[in-house]
Amino acid sequence: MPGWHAATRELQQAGRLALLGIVLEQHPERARLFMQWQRMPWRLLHDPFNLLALPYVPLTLAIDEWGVIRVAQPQLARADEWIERFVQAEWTAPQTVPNFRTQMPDLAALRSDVEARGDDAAAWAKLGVQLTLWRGEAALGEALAAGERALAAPAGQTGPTHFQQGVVYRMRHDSAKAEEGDFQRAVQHWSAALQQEPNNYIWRRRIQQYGPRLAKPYSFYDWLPQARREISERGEVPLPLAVEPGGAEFAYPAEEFTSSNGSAGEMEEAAARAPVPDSAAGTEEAARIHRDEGLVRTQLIAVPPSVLPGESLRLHFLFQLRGEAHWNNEAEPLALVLEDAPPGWQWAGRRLWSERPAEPTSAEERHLEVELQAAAEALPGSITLRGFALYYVCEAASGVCLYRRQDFYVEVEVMSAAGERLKDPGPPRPGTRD
Amino acid sequence: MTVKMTVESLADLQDERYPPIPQLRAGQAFPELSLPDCADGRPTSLADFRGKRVLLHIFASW
Repeated sequence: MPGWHAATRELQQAGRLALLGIVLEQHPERARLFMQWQRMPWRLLHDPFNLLALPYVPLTLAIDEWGVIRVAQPQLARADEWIERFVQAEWTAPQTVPNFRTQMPDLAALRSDVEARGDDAAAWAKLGVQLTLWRGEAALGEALAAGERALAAPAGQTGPTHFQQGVVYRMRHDSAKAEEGDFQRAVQHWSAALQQEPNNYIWRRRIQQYGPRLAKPYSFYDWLPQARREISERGEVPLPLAVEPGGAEFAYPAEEFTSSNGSAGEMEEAAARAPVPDSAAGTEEAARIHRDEGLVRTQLIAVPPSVLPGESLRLHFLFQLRGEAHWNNEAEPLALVLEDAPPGWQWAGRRLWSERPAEPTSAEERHLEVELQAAAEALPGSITLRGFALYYVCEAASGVCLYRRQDFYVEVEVMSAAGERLKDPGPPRPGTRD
Repeated sequence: MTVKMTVESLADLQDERYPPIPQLRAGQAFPELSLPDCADGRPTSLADFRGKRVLLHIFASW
């Protein structure tokens, strides 16, 4: 894409050619940061649902003044040969000139229409999409309900709707209206979509973004630190991100399962900064630590939600403070301890530590990730893995600070080698035991 | 100088590494689609560029 920008810079500056982008990512501000870094000041539109049903990206189209595609997926290497010709040519107007105009959909009319149609899966799915695009956070619950109606309707195209539901659940997870289980539901819907169309590159990438290293094609956002550094060195302020990428999104692919998470070294760095908590060194002592009675909520997300024997998955642990509780950063950082896996199963790491902010107290969500490989001889069914977290948490800004433990378990579903993955997303499989 | 040009005359420029996408072939109108602008959420479509030649990139930064 920067190559296209360079090849057309003079035409853009002369007003003879306009460049326009459509980004298919979940978090569009990351693409905006990329464009800021590459000094590409074009308008950028957001289509998180892949409404054009593209089988892959990137895709480049040369479009004339009537909206007709004149060159599809041209070769950048031959740009000098055709761009000037494309711009100079006198394209024949189509027999019927489209009179389409940019407009916000009439959501009230769309709602009425959908109700009148009853079990029209496409109409319900469209309502979910339009509510998400144009009402955003305020309408995500309604958009999800519309998507569920679409999935429940007979003869619907459930693959695209499952992908759509995954996008909306993940959006709500990232919003102030997040509900417990949203991220896991997103992963389950994406998995259900991919199960129906395993060759859909766009759908596969969305799961790989959060998934294990063995399934990654490349690091998704390793360019980001360099982009921020170079933008700052130019004296500009890097555009802010609504959601910072997590370890899985920075992690590089691996050909073999290793005992390192490989998430840009963040776990190793955190461990080097923080001493090993005494109470985490021995589980017997840790067992005597008082259990948390509601100061921290833990969510576990498994990506993918089920595995074949020998496959790996990535577990995301989210630690969210309830009410006025806050972290005590003057003590040790949050530690995650994973207990022995069954024979043949392997954790990438069994002691993880969170980042510890410099300020004495903080209230951020803490996010740890670890990979787990299923035994090559694992039998179909579910297995339960256990662990616990230890942390220093204070009840309120001026309240009592406590050292607490929270136990959790993870149920991992193993599919038979010839079997199908999870067909329909249900409630999240992993859970916590307070 | 203005060059009269037909669709076929640029069709051979398609990058053969990428399979053609049936709904987005040369000679077809780009679908009617309004999407939010990432900068301000404003509805935007190709109709806002009517009268201009456009190079459209659909991509992801990963």
